[in-house]
Amino acid sequence: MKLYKHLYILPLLYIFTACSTTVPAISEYRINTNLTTEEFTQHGCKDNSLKIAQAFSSSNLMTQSMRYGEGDFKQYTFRESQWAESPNRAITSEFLAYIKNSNLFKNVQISKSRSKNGLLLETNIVDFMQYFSADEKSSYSNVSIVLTLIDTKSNSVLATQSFSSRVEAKELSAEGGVVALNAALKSVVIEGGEWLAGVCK
Amino acid sequence: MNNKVNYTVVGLLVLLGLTMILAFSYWLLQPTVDEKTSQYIIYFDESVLGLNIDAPVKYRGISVGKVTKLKINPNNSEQVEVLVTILRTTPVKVDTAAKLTAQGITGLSYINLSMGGNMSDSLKRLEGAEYPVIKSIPSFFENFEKSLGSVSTNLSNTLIQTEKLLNDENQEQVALLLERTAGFMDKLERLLDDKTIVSLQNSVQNLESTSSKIDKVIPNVDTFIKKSVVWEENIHKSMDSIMVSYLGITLSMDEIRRAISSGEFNIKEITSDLVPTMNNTLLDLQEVMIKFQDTLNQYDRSPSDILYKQEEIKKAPGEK
Repeated sequence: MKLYKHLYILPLLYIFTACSTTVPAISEYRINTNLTTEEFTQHGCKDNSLKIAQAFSSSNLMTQSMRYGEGDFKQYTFRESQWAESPNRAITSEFLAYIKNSNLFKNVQISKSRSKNGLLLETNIVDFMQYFSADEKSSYSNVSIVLTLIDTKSNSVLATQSFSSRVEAKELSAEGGVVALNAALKSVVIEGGEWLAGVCK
Repeated sequence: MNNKVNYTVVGLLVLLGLTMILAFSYWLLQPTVDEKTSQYIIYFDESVLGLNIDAPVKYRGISVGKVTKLKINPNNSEQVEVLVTILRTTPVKVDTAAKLTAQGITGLSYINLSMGGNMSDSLKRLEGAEYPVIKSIPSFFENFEKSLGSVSTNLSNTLIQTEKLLNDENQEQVALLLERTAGFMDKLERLLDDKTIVSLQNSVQNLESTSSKIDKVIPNVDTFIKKSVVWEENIHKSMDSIMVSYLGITLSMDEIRRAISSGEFNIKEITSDLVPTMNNTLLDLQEVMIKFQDTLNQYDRSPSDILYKQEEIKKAPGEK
């Protein structure tokens, strides 16, 4: 009789067996371009403050999940890797850091700042992903971004430009893809800075 | 035989006889007190044919005098002056009128006095006139003759108008009208066959039925109108309420306008702080929603992952 009183332990035991499920270790990667800022000599925008808006992107780039493409159409999520920060925020931060030290503008703020600004830089991330070939024998990372400079007083577009970079991955892994993505992003950020310097002649 | 004649007695008898004759004549001709008369003049504007001397003068049908003299008025040849002798007891008033009246079929006439009112004054002789003058009114024949002349004139005019009306053109038109009327009547007769008449009767019955239904409906209409009045009053109250609200809104808007004008309420300043904050909050919210959606998708795909993490994820290149 006493045994029946303790039958409720069985379903609890069954449920708590879930606690014994093991998941593989996950590596988190961060975006770090290691950029050395170049100070530009153009002073056309020196009197203006610039705000960098939170980048527009697909919802995939607004989570920490790290995705990769395989072949022409397939797309998966890395099982043991993820971003430390959503690429959307990280890319915005990279642009902010680079342009802030470029000496092109009076000051550069993120979009959350309550300071008033004359110019606004909008970033649209078109692509930021590692791609593997269908046979998984080669891999590259692709970064494609559109930058748009807007006059906030008139809400008119002063200039807009697309930038893209493709870097082959040295390793057929997530880490190799992250390295290639950082290199490609570095190239795009530098090109974007040069483009802004051209706009601010 | 004794031929002795007493001439004295004869003379006495003759004298007695003459005396009696004279006495009888005097008695016969002696005027009575009642037969005291007055004389009046009547001027007639018409012919007095049939009226003779001693023709009677009647007052309302009673013989009260006679015609004494007839002559043409020396001052107006179109008038006949008739002198009449009338009993003084006759009430001849100022409004008494003399009318020439025919006496049956004899052709004779008499003068009839009438129209004298009790309250009227008695007729007096005018100053400078020999007799009082009774006014005359036209006789029946005079009136008849005048009326006949008027009738004759009207009849003549009517005949002229009729002649104009019945000229050739109008006759043709009338003939055409009659012809068309005949055609119309013929069509109407053909149209109004038994079936049509029955239909018409049915229509009339339907009309009566409809009329009775309308009579029944009218009280409902009255009720509806009464309710409409109530409804209208409610609407009126609602409109008043709306008006009050509108006035309140107007006051509020005026106050807002005043606050904006004075700088107390600076929308631009408020929104410049609020909008970026809202925008950032919405962006954060968007990220949370995306993560939530991602998690839901995962557990929708493999519900047992909640406890046992059973979904098999494809190993990426480089993963063990």
